Amino acid sequence: MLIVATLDTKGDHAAYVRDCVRGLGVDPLLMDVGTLEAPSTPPDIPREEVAAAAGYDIQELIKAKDRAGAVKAVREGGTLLARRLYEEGKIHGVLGMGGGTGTAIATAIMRSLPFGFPKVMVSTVASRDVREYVGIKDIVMFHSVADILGLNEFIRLLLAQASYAVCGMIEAGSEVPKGKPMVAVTAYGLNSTCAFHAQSFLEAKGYEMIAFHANGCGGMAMEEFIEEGLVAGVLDLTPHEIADEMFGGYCRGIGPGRFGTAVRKGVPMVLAPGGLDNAVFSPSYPMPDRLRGRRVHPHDVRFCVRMGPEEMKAFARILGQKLRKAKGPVYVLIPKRGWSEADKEGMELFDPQTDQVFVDELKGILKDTVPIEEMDVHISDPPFAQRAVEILDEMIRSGRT
Amino acid sequence: MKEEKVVLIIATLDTKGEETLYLRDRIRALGCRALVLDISMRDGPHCREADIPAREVAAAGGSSIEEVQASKERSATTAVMTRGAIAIAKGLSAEGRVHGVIGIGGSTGSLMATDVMRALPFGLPKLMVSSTAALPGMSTRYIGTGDICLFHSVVEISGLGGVLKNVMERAAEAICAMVDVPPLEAMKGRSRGPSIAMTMLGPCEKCASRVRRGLEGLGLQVAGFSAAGVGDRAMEEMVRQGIFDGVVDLAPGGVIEHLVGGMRDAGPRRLEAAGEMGIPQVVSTCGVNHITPPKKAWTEDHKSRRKYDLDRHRTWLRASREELLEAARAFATKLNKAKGPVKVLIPLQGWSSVDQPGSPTFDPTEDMVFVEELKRGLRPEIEVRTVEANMEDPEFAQAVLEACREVFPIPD
Repeated sequence: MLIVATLDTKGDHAAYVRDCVRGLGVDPLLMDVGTLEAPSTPPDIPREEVAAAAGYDIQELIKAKDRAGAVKAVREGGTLLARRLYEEGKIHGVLGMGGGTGTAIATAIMRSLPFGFPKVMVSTVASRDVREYVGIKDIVMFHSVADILGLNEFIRLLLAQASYAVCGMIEAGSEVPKGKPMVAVTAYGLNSTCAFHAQSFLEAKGYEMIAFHANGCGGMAMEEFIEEGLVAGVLDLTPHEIADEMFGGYCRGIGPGRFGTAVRKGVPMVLAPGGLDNAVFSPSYPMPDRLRGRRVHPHDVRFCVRMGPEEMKAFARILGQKLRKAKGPVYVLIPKRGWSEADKEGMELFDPQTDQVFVDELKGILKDTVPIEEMDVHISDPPFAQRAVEILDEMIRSGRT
Repeated sequence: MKEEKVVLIIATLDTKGEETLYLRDRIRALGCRALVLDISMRDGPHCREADIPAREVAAAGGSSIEEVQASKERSATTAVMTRGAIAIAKGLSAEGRVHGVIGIGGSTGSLMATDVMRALPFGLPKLMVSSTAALPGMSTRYIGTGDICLFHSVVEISGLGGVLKNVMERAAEAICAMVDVPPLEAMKGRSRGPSIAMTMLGPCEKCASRVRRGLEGLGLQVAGFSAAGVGDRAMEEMVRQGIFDGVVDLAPGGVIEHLVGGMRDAGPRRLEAAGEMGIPQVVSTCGVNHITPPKKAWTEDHKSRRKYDLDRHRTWLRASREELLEAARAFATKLNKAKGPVKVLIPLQGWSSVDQPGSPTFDPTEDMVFVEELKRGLRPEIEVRTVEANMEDPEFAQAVLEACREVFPIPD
């Protein structure tokens, strides 16, 4: 097990974890990422070696009092070393501990390791916004509550629990079981029924579904899964993130790579306009003034605001530009009776005329490059999911032959 | 024979039935007992597999499952189910019938399950597998002051594919391993000396580190807590749980911040836990003469205050005379209720490293407004000791240590 800590300030804690891990029959490998004083516990991988892996001289940086530079050096070097150790099959789990700086360094190292590889971070700042630490990786953030300063029975207990947890996870193995081909599906609260139906249709055709919450972060995680070649096809049923990105809504946070990976890598994809009818806001994600007066559907503390014709055109342009570049088979499937639980007959945001603006604009952009099929159903109706799966399955099959 | 460990699983079986049962079976296969607590607000085919069905949870929450299922008020029904789950889980934990808790969920499920976890004692293993762990701000709401592990599932907890199975397997291994760690009481048994909690902030870190080393030299162990409004509240929860034998409250600024709505606000009960538990406390004043209202909420008065920029994001404003008086009264009221010994130590040459000659907010004369009012309000048994030094001077740490020696249980 790789243990990552700043051994100048957390030397005693790292030594405690090392002994704990050893007691469980696992070999510890202690990496020092300290940038202040000399380590108080001897490391297996000294910080000089860590920094040197990325071409830095840590002593020089410390002498120059370049704190930021030293942190960067151990972060980059640690990342390279950890990745190398993983590729050589020399590490099977990683445990980090630290405050603000230690967490930033250790989680950067963890993010470079693949999904499935056990990663636990004992952190004093786990209760703050951890988005930049966790990103789209399967990191376990363990809140230390108390500062990791001085060894006391509470910190010893948490460090022991964390050590046991990583050792346990190593037992589980990091291999994602290879089974049936996986199909990635996007869903969110107001468009989850479609994914639910898709699951049974996919399973009937011999696929496994892997669902991603279209909340900014989830969509980006899916792009990474596609990039790593883990999925056979994509049902992007919920491009809703575009709306929230445009207006600073609840599911914002996608990067320029969203909607781009499948088309670039030639992975078959069916796209539907799920959730493009609305943007979602909450007290923490306030609605911009320019949307005032729009129709609203209350959810909980969150609420959905109807998107108008101008937005429909903009969404069509964003998606159209991406889809037009497709290297592989792409198909657009449109339900004409509403795109979410809020955009449904009898609900506040039901508005097929406005939805149609998107369809017409998209047709104009895609011309004959990508087929668009319209169905006279709501997105949550089983025939819609059935048809989407059918098309995707055909595309995947014809790609195989 | 090894005692069978019990893991409580908190999940919504209506939407995550298959996934929960997979987790349950993995936990069983690892030799632990699994107890499924169902917080579903709708019915589903897997709901009858619960060990503690939603019906019982709703009843414990003061409602009925029929009412919950019929309701369209999501926020009201989640509150009912959360309340019920807390009551049941606390009962099980108090009886020693639960050794670890694991939850799985999206947004709503994670909010509910972590509310339950935070109501359980510190030290009891708590693992939350959440698909929304990395969303901005969510970890703050899920973890708060709790010792919770937040496991980002990356994929939705929906559909048992290989990826999710792998997450569930790792989560099961992790929680089953964590319950094997001897619990806090057992660790306290083979004690390494009495345990002291200490609050601190960057501007008094030299003092904190000297005091810690001094106490460790006396055979005590010290747990430090950042007094920025979360760590110090957590400390007081742990004090109420009986984990500590004494408190060094170097930075009780959360009290004045609560009065003025500052960012370090530590709630209405700050500075009361040690007194309630009757354990000795040594209190000082780091950060008490400064306030940090959010910049967005600055009034004209705030803008005209003397200020100190701690870093790019944090500016400390000098507290006004009135605020100092009010804070002193709050300190006196809280400390007067203490059932155990209290010593207050005040450095006369500035209350932190922010507060030194040359700093725009340094004003030892005005600080005396607080000191005099505090002395007037405190009952006579509570001693206020002033030291002719700055908080960060070695002499002050020495004085704090001396006070600790007088009131803390020092091992022979």
